Order: sequence, then C-alpha cells, then structure tokens
Amino acid sequence: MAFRVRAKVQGRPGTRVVIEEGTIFEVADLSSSSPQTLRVLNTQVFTLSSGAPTYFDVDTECLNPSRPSPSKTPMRATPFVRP
Amino acid sequence: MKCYLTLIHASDWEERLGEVSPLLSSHGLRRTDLSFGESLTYESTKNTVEAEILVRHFLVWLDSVVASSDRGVPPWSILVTNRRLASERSPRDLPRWALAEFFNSVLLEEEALARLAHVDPNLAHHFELNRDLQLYVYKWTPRQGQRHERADGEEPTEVAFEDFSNDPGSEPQKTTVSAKGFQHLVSLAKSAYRGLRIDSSRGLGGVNALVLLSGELNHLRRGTEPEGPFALFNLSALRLRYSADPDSLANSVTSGKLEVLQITAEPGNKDEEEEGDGFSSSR
Repeated sequence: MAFRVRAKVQGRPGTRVVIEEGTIFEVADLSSSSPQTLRVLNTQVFTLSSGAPTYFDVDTECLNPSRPSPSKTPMRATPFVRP
Repeated sequence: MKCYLTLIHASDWEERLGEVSPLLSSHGLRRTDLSFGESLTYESTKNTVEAEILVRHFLVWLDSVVASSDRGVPPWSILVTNRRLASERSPRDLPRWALAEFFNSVLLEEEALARLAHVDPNLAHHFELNRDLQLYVYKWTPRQGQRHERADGEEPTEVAFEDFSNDPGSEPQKTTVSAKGFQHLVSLAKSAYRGLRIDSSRGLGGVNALVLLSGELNHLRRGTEPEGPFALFNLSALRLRYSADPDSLANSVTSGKLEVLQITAEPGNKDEEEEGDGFSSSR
C-alpha cells in the first residue's frame, strides 16, 4: 500500500526541486502513535511557479512494517536515500 | 578565502557540467581564464565563500559520481584555497603541476579544513597533509567506489561506541547501547550519529529514521519501546546514502533555496483530486 507524503514548501518562482526515488522521510516525533519511516517510490521533479506556499505530494512506502501506518502524521525531510 | 574549483579530464564533462552548474552558481563560482589543457577552472566571486558548505555539497555530489564509476575515483577535483594557479609564480601561487597533483582529489587549505572539521569531523578525518603543496588532500579509497557492489546481507561489524563511523563509505557497523525507551534512545543516538550532514536548524531530520530503521534490525516488536540492549546501525548497514542531487529536497533546504513549512503523511488515495496549485511536476 502506498502512503502519500504532502509537503508545504515555499521558495522563489522557478525553483526546481527533485524528489528522487528512495528519498527518506522520518516521523517528526517518535512518541507519535504512528512512528514510521517512509521511502519515496518514484522520482518526481517540481518547479515552483509562484513564491506563495505550495503543496506537493509524493507516493511512498513504509519501511517499518512493525509500526502503525501514518495518519496525518507530521514528518520531516532527511538527506538520506535508500536506492 | 578564495575558492578555486577545477574540473579535469572528464570524458562526459558536458553532461556533468550541466548537473553541477547549479551547485557552482549557487556558491557564487564563475569561470576564470585559468583554463589548462582539458581542464576548466572556476573561482568564487566573493572572498567570504562558505567553503565548508561548498565542500560538503560538492563531496555529496562527487560521492555519487564515484559510486557509479568503474574506477572508484572521481573524474573531477576541487581545490579550496586562497592561492591561485599561475604561470609566473609568486611565493603564494600554486605551480601549474599542482593541476596534475590534485587530479582525482579534493584539496583544502588549512582554514577550510578547520571549518569543515567543525561541521563534519568524519569527513575531515579523510584529509591528509601534502607537504609539497601545503594543502590537505582527500584520501579516496577503493571501498568508496565499490561499496554499492557489496552484497546485501553482509553482517555489520560490532564496534565500540567511540569507533562508530557515520561516513557512508565506511564498512557496515553497529554499536550496542542500553536503551530505556525511545526518548532515552534518541538522546544516545544523537551522540552515536555524530557528524551527520543534517542541517537541523532548517528543519531537516534523520536521526529518528536511523533509530526506527535500526529498530527493525533489532526485531523491535509492534507497539513496544526499546528497553535494554539495542544495536544502532550506521548508514552503510542501513543501505542509506546522502542525496547527491543539488536540487533534492534536503539539499535545496540546506542551500536556502527552499523552505519546508509542513510535511504530513497519510494513506494514499490516487483518485483524490489534489490541492496542487503553484507548481508543475513531472516524473
């Protein structure tokens, strides 16, 4: 089952953002009811068309099968990739 | 400090230049007239270039090039110094033969190394002084180029806490700590995972992921907190590497191009119409 990561970001118009396959998102709070680590399934490239706050969504998979699935769970971006 | 970056003898240099150009320009680098043979040299336009950030970003990118190369060495080099290459040498200039000397490597002036050591001790540990050049040279090892060829399932080596390496090029390792719940474990993990290239001041994370992924290898049962011996695994053991794309989400945040306001996760529903104005996307 795929899980959706929704990120609200802001930057200058024209900023290009690459969410590569394997990118890791972590749960912001380990005491959350659904502490989970997520891995992006497919590479996606976004280009900001305005300077206003913008949303993008990516499909992910859970890497912690022993933990509950996320449900509107606050997450954080990490610099890690698992190919 | 001035920063000179020289690209040498890369057969696919046009393609690579397209990849690395945004990184160079974001750090204020521009082409100079110090081209030599098949090399291209860039220099910073500011004396106050944040050398350690450039080196870290460049090494992350270079690391991916090395990992994908057959030879296990980079086709590019980087030199961070306040000296320049010159045909008519002054005591402070670098000789032209230095170009050949730093082919396939990364060289830092002592000041740049000190700044790098402050933010990333593990990375700085790989530099050794070249007495002829009076510059610190990055020591590439075959293992760095071959680590992705390692068979999955290789048993990580148990090491002492102080020997635990977070260099993604290191061998798979684990170190065992005594945990009293997640909160206690995270405080231990922050020490064990010292030197990670994570800009937490900009909202980036990583330690929670490392703890939870280690938890899977500890066979932590669903709904339980870690109590007692708990093995923390390093990046290599967890099959993780740093994102090498300068436009990646994390690197864009680190470089200040992008600010993340909020991230949430929930079960996916592909049929749902998304709130997606303000950007264009492609796969």
